[in-house]
Parts: sequence; C-alpha cells; structure tokens
Amino acid sequence: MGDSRWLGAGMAGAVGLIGLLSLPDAAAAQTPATKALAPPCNMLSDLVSTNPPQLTPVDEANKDKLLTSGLPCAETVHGEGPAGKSRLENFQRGFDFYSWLTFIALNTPADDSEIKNARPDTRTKWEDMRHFRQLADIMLKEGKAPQWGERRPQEIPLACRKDFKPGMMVIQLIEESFNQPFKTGPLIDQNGNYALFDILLNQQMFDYIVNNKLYSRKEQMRNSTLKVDFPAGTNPPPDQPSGGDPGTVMLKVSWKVLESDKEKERFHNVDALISIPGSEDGRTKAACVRKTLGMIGFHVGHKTKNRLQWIWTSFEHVNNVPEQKDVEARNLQASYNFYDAACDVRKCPVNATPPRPWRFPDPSLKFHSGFKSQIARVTPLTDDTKEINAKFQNILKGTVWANYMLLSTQWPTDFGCSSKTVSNPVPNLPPNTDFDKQPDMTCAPAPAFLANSTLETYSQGSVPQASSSCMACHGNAVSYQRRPPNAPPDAKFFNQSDFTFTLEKAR
Amino acid sequence: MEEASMSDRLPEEQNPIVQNANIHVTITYTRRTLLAGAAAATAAATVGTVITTMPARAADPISTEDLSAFVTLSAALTGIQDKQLAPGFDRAPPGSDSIDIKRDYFRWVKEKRSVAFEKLLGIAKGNPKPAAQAIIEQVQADPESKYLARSIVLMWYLGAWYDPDDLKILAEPPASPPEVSHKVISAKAYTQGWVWRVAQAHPMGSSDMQFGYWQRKPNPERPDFFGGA
Amino acid sequence: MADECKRYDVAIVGSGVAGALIAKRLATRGKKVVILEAGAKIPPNINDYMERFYTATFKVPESPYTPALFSPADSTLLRDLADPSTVNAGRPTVLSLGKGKWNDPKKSYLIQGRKDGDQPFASTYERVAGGTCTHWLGTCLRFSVKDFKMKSVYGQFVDWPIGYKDLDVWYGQAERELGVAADVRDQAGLGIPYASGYAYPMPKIPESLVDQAVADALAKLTEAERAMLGMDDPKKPIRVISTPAARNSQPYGNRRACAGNTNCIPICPIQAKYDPTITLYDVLDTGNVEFIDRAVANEVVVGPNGRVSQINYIRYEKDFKEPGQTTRTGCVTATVYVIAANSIETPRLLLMSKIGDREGVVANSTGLVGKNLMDHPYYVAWALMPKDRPVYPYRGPLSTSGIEDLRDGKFRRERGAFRVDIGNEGWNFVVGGFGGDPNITTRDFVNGMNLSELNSKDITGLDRDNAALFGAELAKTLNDLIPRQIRLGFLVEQSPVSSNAVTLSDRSITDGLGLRRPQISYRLSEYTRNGIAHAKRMADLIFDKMGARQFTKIPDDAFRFDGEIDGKKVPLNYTGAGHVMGTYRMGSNAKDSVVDSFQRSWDHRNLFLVGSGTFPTTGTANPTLTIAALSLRTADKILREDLR
Repeated sequence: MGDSRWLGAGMAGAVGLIGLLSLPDAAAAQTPATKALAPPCNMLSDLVSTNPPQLTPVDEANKDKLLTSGLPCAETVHGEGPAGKSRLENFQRGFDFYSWLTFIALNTPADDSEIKNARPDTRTKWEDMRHFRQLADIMLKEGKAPQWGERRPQEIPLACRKDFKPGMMVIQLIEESFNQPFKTGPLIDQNGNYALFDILLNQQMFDYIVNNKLYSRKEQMRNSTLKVDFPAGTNPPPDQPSGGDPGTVMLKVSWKVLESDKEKERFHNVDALISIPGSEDGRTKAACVRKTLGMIGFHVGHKTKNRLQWIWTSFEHVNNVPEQKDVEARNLQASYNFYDAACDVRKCPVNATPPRPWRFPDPSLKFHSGFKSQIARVTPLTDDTKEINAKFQNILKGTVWANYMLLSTQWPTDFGCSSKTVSNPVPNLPPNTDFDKQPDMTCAPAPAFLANSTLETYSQGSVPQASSSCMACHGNAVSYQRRPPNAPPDAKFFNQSDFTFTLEKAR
Repeated sequence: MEEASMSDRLPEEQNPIVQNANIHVTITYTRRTLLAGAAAATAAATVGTVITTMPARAADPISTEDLSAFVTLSAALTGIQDKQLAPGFDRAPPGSDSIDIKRDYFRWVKEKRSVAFEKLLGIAKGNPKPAAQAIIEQVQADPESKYLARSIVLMWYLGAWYDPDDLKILAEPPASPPEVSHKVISAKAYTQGWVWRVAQAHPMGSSDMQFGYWQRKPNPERPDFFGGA
Repeated sequence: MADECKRYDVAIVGSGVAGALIAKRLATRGKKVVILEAGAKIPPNINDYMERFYTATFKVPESPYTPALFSPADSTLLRDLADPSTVNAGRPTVLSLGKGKWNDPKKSYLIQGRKDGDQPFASTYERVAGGTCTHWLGTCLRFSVKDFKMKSVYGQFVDWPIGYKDLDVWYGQAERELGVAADVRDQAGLGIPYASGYAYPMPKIPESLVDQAVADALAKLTEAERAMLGMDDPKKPIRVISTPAARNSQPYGNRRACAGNTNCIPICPIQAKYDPTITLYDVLDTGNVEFIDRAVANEVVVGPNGRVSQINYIRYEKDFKEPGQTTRTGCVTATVYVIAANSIETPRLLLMSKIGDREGVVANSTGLVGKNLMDHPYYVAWALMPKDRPVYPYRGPLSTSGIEDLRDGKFRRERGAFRVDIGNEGWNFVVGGFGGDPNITTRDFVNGMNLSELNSKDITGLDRDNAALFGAELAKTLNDLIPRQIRLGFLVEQSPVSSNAVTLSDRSITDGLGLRRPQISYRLSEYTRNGIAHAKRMADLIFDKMGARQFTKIPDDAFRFDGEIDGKKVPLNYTGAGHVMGTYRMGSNAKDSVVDSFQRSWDHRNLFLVGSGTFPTTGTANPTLTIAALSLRTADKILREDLR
C-alpha cells in the first residue's frame, strides 16, 4: 500500500519494499498521501546568473516559487557574487540559501498543502514516518532489524499505548534526549522544563543502515571491511531533469514544552507522547506523558556528492536567547525562551550548566530544583546571514515559520579534498569518499565553529577542538567495527562512521 | 545534595562569558583550503539585481597590494607555496581562504615592526613578482631585515612570535645573554602552524584525522606543497 | 566542635582517581559523601583548559590547569615563575625543576635539596578537580605476580600484604570503570594470570609506525643479546606490545574514540582518554555528594577514642594570595574518613595534624608517614632514524606500545627492572629543555642554531653547520629530519628507602594559606641507578639495531649522576614519570606499615589513606590502574564493614 509515487522516486540502493509490505492498512487509510521530498530536485540557488552575478530575489513576486520548489538534492553554490563580496562570502551565501530551501522543504506540510497556509501545528514532512524515522526506532533492543513505515502497534512503548493516537509524535527518552552530547548538560527553560532532543534519519540513511546491518552492534563488530559511506545527494544530470536523488539526510531537533495556548501560536508544535523508561533497579516505573512540544532548534546534516563531509545547517527559534554582545550592551527583548533579562548576573550566571544531579526527567518534565538556564549566544550571526534570514522570514510572514532563523551553514571549503573520483553523475554510484585522507578529514570547514544555543549550549566558543564545530566533532565518529585479530600489520581498516554518531547507538 | 550553593560561588566564576572575554569570539576558521571552482550555476528563471564592478573590500585597512606582497614574501621565505599559505588569494573575486591567518599575521608583524616590515614588503613587491631566490637574497642583505624575516618564518611555521631582537641574541649571543622566550600568537595560530604539515603530522592537541590513522603512513606520503627555490 | 561540622557518611580529601572512584562506589549505594578538593572545581567545558594549553609557551603537563604558572600570568619567561609562597593551593611543576630552581623555595613548591647528596624528586602533581590524572598518559598495566613479592622472590625490599590474586577481580572492575582498550592475548607471558576468558572492555589501540620500527629492531636481537638484556629465557622474543590504556578505541561511556590528537599529556581535547572528572560527573549525578572546591584540608582531628572526629579545612577564593585576603574555615565530620590527596599531600596533611600538642603523630605511630618516597625514575633516550626509514612521529596517542618483557627476571636481585615506553611524539619533550620540539629544531634551522644537534652538515648534507635556511631548502630539510625522530623511555623500578621522605618545611616557608609546604629528601639507590645504567645499555642496543643515530644528551644539572657500564664510568640522568608513591605503605601488621591491605590506618580505625602512597614497592607498571583497583577494594570494604 502507500503512494506509489514515493516508492519509485529513485532511492539509492533502497529496499523499501519491506517497510511497504508491513504498513498497517489502518494507518495508510488514515494518513493522506504524501509526495517524496525529492526528486524532483530543487535546482534554485542564490544567484540567477553568474555573469554578471545576479541575486535570486527573495520577495513577494518570487515567493511561491521559493516556497514550493522542494528539497535541494545537492547544493548549487558559486564563488561569484555582488561587488565587494569575497569568494568565501559568496559561497556562504549560497549555502545559506540552500539551507533555507532545505528548511522550507522539510517543514512543508506532510499532506502537500502549501507551507504559506500552514498552521503552527500542521504536521510537517519530516515528522511523517514515511519520510523520516526516529533513531530510537532504528536502533532496537538486541540489535533487531528495524522496519520502515508507520509505527506498528507493538512498536509503541507500553506505557504510551493507552494514550497513543495515530499521528502523534512519540519520543522515547534516552540520555541524549535530555542531556547534550557527551553529557555536557541539560537545558532548562524559563518554566523549569527540560528541553528535549531527538534525532531522525531519512530513508536513504535508514536503508543503508539496514542493508549493512549497522543497526546491530554484533554485526558491526563482524564487518571489518565495510567503509561506512552513506549515499550522497546528487542533482539530476543535464539530460534527465526528473532524476537526481537527495541522498542521506539526518536531523536533530530540539523541543520546548509548551504550557500556554499563547505559546502554541509562536512555535511550530506537535502533540507528543514522551516515553520515560523505568529505572534499572525497578524502583521507578516506566511512564508516558502527553505534552505539546514547540520546536526551538533544528539541525540538518545532508551528504552530497561534492560535499562528502556533509553540509551542516542549523536553525533556531528567534526568541531563544540574546547574543552575548546584546547582554553586555543591555539591549534585550522582553522575553526569551532561555534567558531572563530581569535576573541579575550574580544570581543567573550566563551559560552555566544546571546544578547536578542531572537525572532522567520524571513525568513532570521539570528540573528538580528551581534552576532555569540563562543562555546567551557567544558567536553572533553574520550580517549576511541576518540579511538572508530577514528576506525568507518576510516571505513566510503569517506563518509560524517566520519565527525561525538560520544560524549558519557549515560546509567543507576544500572542495574535493576527500573524494577519489566522482565523475559519474548517476545517483546510485557510491560516493567513494577517501577515508584515509590526511591531515584534515574535515576538509577545512567554514565557518570554523557553529553552535546552536539549544543543542550545543555549553560548548559555544572559538577554541579549536573544544568549542562546537559540527564537522570537527562529527569527524570523530566511529562504529564498533573491529580489525580482525590476524590481519597483516599493513592492512588498512577503517571504523569511521561517516560523520554520524548514530551508529554507536546500535545495541 | 547539590554542589556548593550559589552563594558559595566565587565572584569571577559567576559570569563565564566575562571569564572568556579574552577569547576572541568573532567567527574564525580552521584549515587552509585548496578552494577550487564549485558546480556551475544552473538554470535561472527570473532576473535579479544586476551587479557591476568588483572593488577592493572597503572595510579592510590592509591594501591588496600589501597583503599580496606579504603572501609572496612569506611563500619565498617559508618554502610553502603561496596558494597554500593563502588559498584563493589571487582569484577573482579573491578571499576564499576560510581561515585567513595571513591577515592575523600581517597585523601582528606590522604592530611589532612597522618600518622594517614595510621594507620587507617592498622587497616582495613588483610586477612581475620577484623570484623566491631573489627575495631571500635581498632579505639577508642587512641584519634588521634578516632577523625580521626569520621571525616571520617562525610565525608561519609555529604560530608563535620569536622577536627579531631575541633571535639575534640567540644567534649572536652577547657576553651574558638574557633569557629570551617566544609567545604563541593565538590558539588559532598554533593550530595553523606549518611545521606540523611539513613533518607530515598535525599540531599536537589538534587532530582532524580519524581513529587508527597513525597505523597508516601519511597520505600523501610526500608533501605536495613546497614552493620553488 | 564536631557538633558544628556538617555531617556525612564519608568525607574524602582529594578528587583524583582514588577519591573519585571511592566516592562513586559509595554514593551510588546511597551514602552521603563530601569531597574536599584543594583546587578548582570541574569546569563546565574544557574551553579554558584548551585555550590555556594552545597559547602556552611551554607546553608542560601542568600548562592547561590552574593555578597559573607565572606571575604575571601571561609572562613567557622562566624567571617569572610564580613564587609558591603566594599561591594558595600550589603544586610542584615541571618548569620549576630546572637548574637553580628545584632547590629554590621561591621557585619550587616542594622544598628540596636541603641535605647533602639530595637529588631532585622529579615528579609533579595537580591540585584540581580530577587530580593528577587530568594529565596522565592513560596507561593501564596490571602488576605482575612477582611485583607483589619482591622480598620473597628476589630478596629485595618488602612483600606486599596482598598478591595479584587479591586484586584480579578489582583490576577487572577498574578496567571497566575507566574504559581500558587492550587485547588480553598481547599481555600473555608477562606473569599476569588473567581470569580465564577475561576480555578487556574495548579492543586494543592500533600500533603506530614508530612501534613497528622498534619491533623490527627487536626482531634482530640475538639470543645472547636478549640474555644480556635480562630475559630469563633468551629464546623467547622481546616484543613490542600494545599498551593497555584508558583510551577509547570505540565509543565508550558517552565519549568519543581517540582521534590521535597526540596530546594525552597534558590534555585530550575530546576526552577520548579517561580522566577522573568523568567519574566525578557520575558522582555528582547521584545527588548524594557535596563537592567543596578550593578547600584545603589542613587538619585531621583525632578524638579521645583514637578515632578521627573531624577534618578541618580552609576555603579560599583566588588562586593567588592577595593582601588582606579572607579565607573561611570549615569542618566536616563523618563515619569514615578517606584521605586521597596523593603521596606527598597526604603525608603533609597528616604531619601537620596534631594530637593534643604533639605534631606529626596522626596515623603515625610507626613514624613511617612520609617515608619511602618513590617514583619511577624515567630514563629517556632519543635518536634519528636512517634517511630511508622515517617513522613519522607526532601522530597518534603519545604512546601506543611498549616493551614489557623485561619487567621481570633474575636480574631483579641486583638491579631495578624497567618497562620501555615507545614515544610517538618524536623529540617533543627531550630536546632543548622545556622548549619542546618541533619548535627547537625549526628555530635551529631558521636562526642558525643547534640546540637539537641536528644542524650539522654531516646530518643535513648541507655545506655548513648551524645553517640558517629560508625557502624550500628549509622546508625540505625539516621534512627530511623531523619524521625520523624517535624516542624511547625507560620507567625504572625504584627502591623504597626510608631516608627518601616527605617532611614539613621550616615554619618560615609556607604557601599562600600560611601552611607549611612539603619538604623532600630524595636520592636514587644503587639498585635503581644500576637499572638506569642498564636502560642506557638497552637504548644503545636498540638504536644500533635500527641504524639510528643517538642524540641523547645528559645536561649538567642536578639530575645527572655517574653510572657504570662494563666497568666504565658513564654519565646518566633521570627525570620523573609522574608516579608519586610509597609514603604511607601498606603492610600486614601495625608495626611496620601505616595501613593494612584495605588501606585502613592501623592507628585510627575509621581512617583510610588511599592512592599510590600505600604501595610498599613500585613494580614497573604505571600505578594508576593499581590505585584504581585498590580504591574499589577499599570502597567495597567500607560498604561491607563501616557503613553497613
């Protein structure tokens, strides 16, 4: 069952049939059809021409085209641009433009209605399990194989079954759902609620994991020879405009518990069930709590043919935090999601982690003490990014999506530094990344540092290695693959997991 | 129980942002690049704003001529190709270098030895650009230029400033030489030091490689970024 | 007095690996614990540590941490080393070990060199949350069976009151806590009887190219040479073995795998190497622990019943003493007290404490507290590989493998044994004093100097010595030389000698809080010197097999001494491995030891003294894993007996 249009849409190496066959009829009957995110690939870029360079207008006249052209399968960027802009700035603008198109496409209503008419709680494409699946539903207990498609009844956590209705989002809490990576700390909003984090993978990424059994730790350990290399997005070849493929897309979302109807108007929100596991010693029972969650942060990682280190996009809600310089100049808005302008710096030190202990949230989702995070953004947005944000927010006026802004896009500037040969534009060709690339596997990211105030709250800064940089950190990701014990000393083995930490969650 | 309560918190800890104030927070970049052309522009539908000429960056107090001379000078002295030290510098539009350490270094040296620096830049100016060997010979002609040139080389190689006067004391020690030292210019400069790449390794404390790389030979096995002379 | 002190189940002085592991075991079982840490607390991230490291002129082990090393803090001159009397909770530093500094109380925190014949105690430690293992290498070797039985087997020193069998299970638990990567099969033949079927938590760290070059050299040893080196069975090969290390080879404990930052000492930028702040996070997350930072315990108070009744501490605000600074005093009282303040600060605290008006008697009826100070004197040798065999140093962890086969043998009747650590960091810390390579070598070739001794024409092939180069010639020369740097280190077993001791300084010499500083008297024994001489012999032989040209220098400083090889006098020296041990040894009875095998004080039954201070002998394994194992065993004892 399911819409045959998304079945046939050029998925790289996909075996989506298994997921299809197990789709419960009830679910298919309830949810309307949904078009694939791509193809067709969105070929728009920040320039309409390069000689002379002319910027693509982002205005009322061009609005419909920009809002409905879909997901870029790969970036289209140029070194040329308006007078006075450096090559780097031109590329950055191109990537930022691509990021906005990506954000719009992913957040387009799942039922294919237009984003300009979307309500704050309209379900988006990425929230639809026909497009993305949550990590907790992929890395299953005992390394069981996951299945694509709508959530089957037995996949709903026990404690949530009585409240579950199709269409609800279910978030299964693990450490990383409330504690930022490497246990750097939870984030507590002005109402004392934990912020929640979730990770989702698209079907191309899911299929690669399934085909290579990467959902199982044991299978990873056995697979010494695989060089994890997720499928890359490619634009259609010139003679095949309906071709191309978006390749691998992964998301990380941060949520805020919304307590009032007024709040619900300002955030994109979902009706969610939060599944809280019981404690290991059995003293605390598993629980499930229903909340309206508002989106406060949105990361996209997209692997493309020319950017084998992926492209890293980060969006935030505009009201999350002030910039550090605004704090110092006392130039503050009335309220923020994670900053209290009225609180003295002695009582509310900026960017301090909450006092320990940091425990799993209980069903109230409130932090155990009265603490509220007081967060400021250390690295300001560039003027160019602020400018592009204003333009896109303007064409999204009237929707909740105008309340979101791009922080920046991190991209590898050393073009082709780690590709072997990628001459064939056919989408199914393996990306052929050179994982032995030395000395810089990240291929010179720009900007060097990037942190989302809700997702990398406590590692903001510009200290090499220590401060948040998408690619520097993700470049360290490895799997559980092992070198066979009797391998000759000069044999090469790789356990890099291609810039994603999801594989280490295999059980 | 929690950690020592807020009232026990000591004054200088209470604003970590203030603590970090000496860490510059403008966006900086990590690695040098070999920026090549990106994908060509694709089909466009509507007409946008027409752009005309490409003037030099208005806000930049360092003239393109000076910066270019600095890159030429540095390439000649260090033996590292200019397009490695300053990727994309000579392209149009210029400035594809995501790290731009050359600018940090230029400002630093100008502040330390403005007049002698001007002289060195003059040696590297000219059209056509002087050959590396010619630059080296002229630089060695007098002690002031020679030692400043050495400071510049050490700056590129180590991300640290060895003052020319200190280098002179070390090379031609007086009777009771005073203690001299060096100063790391910045964390960014340290991670941009070229000696590590010349050694086919990476700065200690900053690796962008992957687990197990040390079991394999450097890739490429011989450096491919040395310049002429 | 005790009524006013805040009350806990357990009070722990020191948040290093021992204190952290014990706190974790107790707090996860619901016990209320207080930790008094002399230094700064755990920072929210390591940005500051990394920034300090990156911008440090001297990238010594202490460089990322507080308190600042110089006064003013941003000075880059050694003459500006901060006067320890102005530092509230100071510590010994590598930079203060130089000539004229190690025995100058205005430079050196430890008071050294007071006795004729004293040599410098060359190891240092940190006083911050996480302790000295904030900058350890990560090596996690178990002691061998014989390491515990030096007296019975070799007639040397004393036996431990326990043996390998008593620690086997605890070693396994420690390896899980820290996250150790190793292959059990590699460790075979070292006299370490692992439990059958034992597997380390993570696969071993891959060997480096340097390791492979050393292995190739060892393969060329003749049987006679292996016998000379000390193999009881010279038919067996001497191997290069991957060193078990608390370094992730895969995701573990919510931390990344090693990315070869080559910076384990002083700090891993991605915490792929375990450090005790990781355990401290778990400790704080139990909600059962109060962590009091900047709190220097200055008195252990013993009640009339002979049990410890409270611990007093001084709380300070700034790292450096300021005129008119205010400090606060406090005290804690508990059922059980654990001093985990390392093998110099623990005796210092005990010696400062009084019973009535008698000083230096707490836990010290034997008079042994402070005595038998030991280290692993570390002999370093370095060389340049032949032109056709670069080994590409400065890559990977600082060390990935070692030579362990010579840690035991009949020779232990006469000379100290050693393990060999193979350095992946070239000449980084050996050349040019504290300058560090590749800085020294680069400066040599730019400025026409020769501190590295590489700038001579027979090595470079240039037409002159002390060449000052520019351009491609410079780049190519450095590219030719630096990838050929190699260094070996020998951690030599040290004798326990009662005159090697920690006492208190004269009352006129204090730290910023007005407390007397540790005073050290230290000298290498003949047994240890013979071990070092043999280490040189081995270094010479290995480098010879490699065709490498040796560059080891013995500077004329206090670490230099005369040794003897084949009847000839040879200059030798040593430095410190950072392994401070021995000053409150464990034993089987109260007359000749300070604590029992559970590290419980014989004199005060509710007091435990933990860490490598309890080691009666040093063995040749790095102490941390054994510290960890003993700590877990102690915590278990406390739970079963004292806090039932």
